Amino acid sequence: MDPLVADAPTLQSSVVTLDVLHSGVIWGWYVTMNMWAKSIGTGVLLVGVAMMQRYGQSRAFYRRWMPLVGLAFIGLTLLFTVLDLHQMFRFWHMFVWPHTTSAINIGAWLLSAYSGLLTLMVFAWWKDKDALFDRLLVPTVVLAFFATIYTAALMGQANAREVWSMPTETAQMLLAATLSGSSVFLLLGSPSKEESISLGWVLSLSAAVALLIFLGEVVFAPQKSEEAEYVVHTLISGRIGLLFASGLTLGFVIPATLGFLSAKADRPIALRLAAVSALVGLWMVKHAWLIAPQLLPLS
Amino acid sequence: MRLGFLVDLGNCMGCKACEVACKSENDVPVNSWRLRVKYVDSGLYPEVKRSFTPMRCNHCENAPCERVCPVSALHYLPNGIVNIDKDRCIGCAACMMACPYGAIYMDPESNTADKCTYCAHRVEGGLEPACVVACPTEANIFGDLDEPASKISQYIASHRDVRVRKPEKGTKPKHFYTNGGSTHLEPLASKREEGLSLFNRIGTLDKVGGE
Repeated sequence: MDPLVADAPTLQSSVVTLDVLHSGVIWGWYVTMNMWAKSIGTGVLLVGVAMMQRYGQSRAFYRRWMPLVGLAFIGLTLLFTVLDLHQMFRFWHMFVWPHTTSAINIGAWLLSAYSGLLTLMVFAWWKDKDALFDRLLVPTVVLAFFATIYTAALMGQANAREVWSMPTETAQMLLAATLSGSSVFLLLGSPSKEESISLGWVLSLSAAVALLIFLGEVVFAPQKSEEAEYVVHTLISGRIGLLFASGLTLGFVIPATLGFLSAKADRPIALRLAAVSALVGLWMVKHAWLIAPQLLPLS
Repeated sequence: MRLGFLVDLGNCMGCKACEVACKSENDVPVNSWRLRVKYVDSGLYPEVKRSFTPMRCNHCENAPCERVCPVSALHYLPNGIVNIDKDRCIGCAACMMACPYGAIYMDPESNTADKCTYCAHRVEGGLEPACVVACPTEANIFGDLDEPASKISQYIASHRDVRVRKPEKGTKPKHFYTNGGSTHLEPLASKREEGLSLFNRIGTLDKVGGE
């Protein structure tokens, strides 16, 4: 057969023969660090407060680590947020010319207020002012909740990146926070065997539900547009398929498995391994999720 | 007043005069483009065809870039132009994430977002955008969509194949095309193979923005 005819399907398809260079990946690992650190910074509050309510005898442990870890990682979040700006010394414009339809602007206010309350909590812990600490708990948890989910609103506003706008993005943000929060407390060494088992449950359930959502939405379900299909292909079997699959395995499969295996007995080493795996895998999943839609040609 | 653009793709011959005029008028830096013309080749020899598509900001009525901008650097002008205040922009690139048309770039010299403004400074002085003036075939048609007697309104009224890019995004673009098809307007309708192509290197920038 004439080679030209044999190649006909390829030759007949349209090919871009002259174009400018596209921007490619604009939001890189700084933004991944932002999302990952924020999951930890808010997750320790969300999980820590629940643990404090359930295990009153360990209040001192959570009073100490919740604000300290929370403030450190929210500080990291803010640091990477500012570093990612191409005009980082104009960060203050956010507060002087706030545009309230923008999830970024709302997020800046939320994170600023949240870090302010965390600073007060650190002060209350340091000075043994338990009454002040307890008064700060409710508003701080409320801010932690909204600081966790605002990123889903921001992703939803990224009209060009359809996959970021999936309806379960808010749930994924919350699950990432509970996964990270429980992992941090497991790594810090929870005060009792019961608490360790409870944290293992939180970790494994968060990992399992997050994995199921990813499988259902990204792997099993057909996408609603050609653009989304392109991005999902990139994510699953394309250029960053290995990163995404590794992230899912480390972030969700291994922690869920180790967590469930440790559900009846306290296996501190297995749970710590699960915690490390979860934190590493979460970073990889977040990064793959961030990068894939940016590889889509928009024009 | 709602200023809009229409490109008659049947008239465009890919000369890139509009690109050059835009670059010159707006001092657009190297490797950055407010307006570009994309070439797409299709068919099987000898039945081959090359199509040309000028692309610029769509100045959407429901602009996602304006909505996501945290400091209102992107804003609507009373005449419908989506303008940008580079002195206010913080360079967060959220607008680049939001624009479904890839029409916004990070200026490597100012480190702020930038894009086509329909030459707002010229329009204010009663002039037409530089690309319209430069087009030798009058493929670029610019005017007030609210004025029934304007050339653009009459062109839209007299053509039955007027399209916008990605209408499903709900952005209500004020930039129209006629005499075009999927190959012109849909990025996934043609292969974009990275590497050296017939005329230049197809690919992505090594770096977004400047130092």
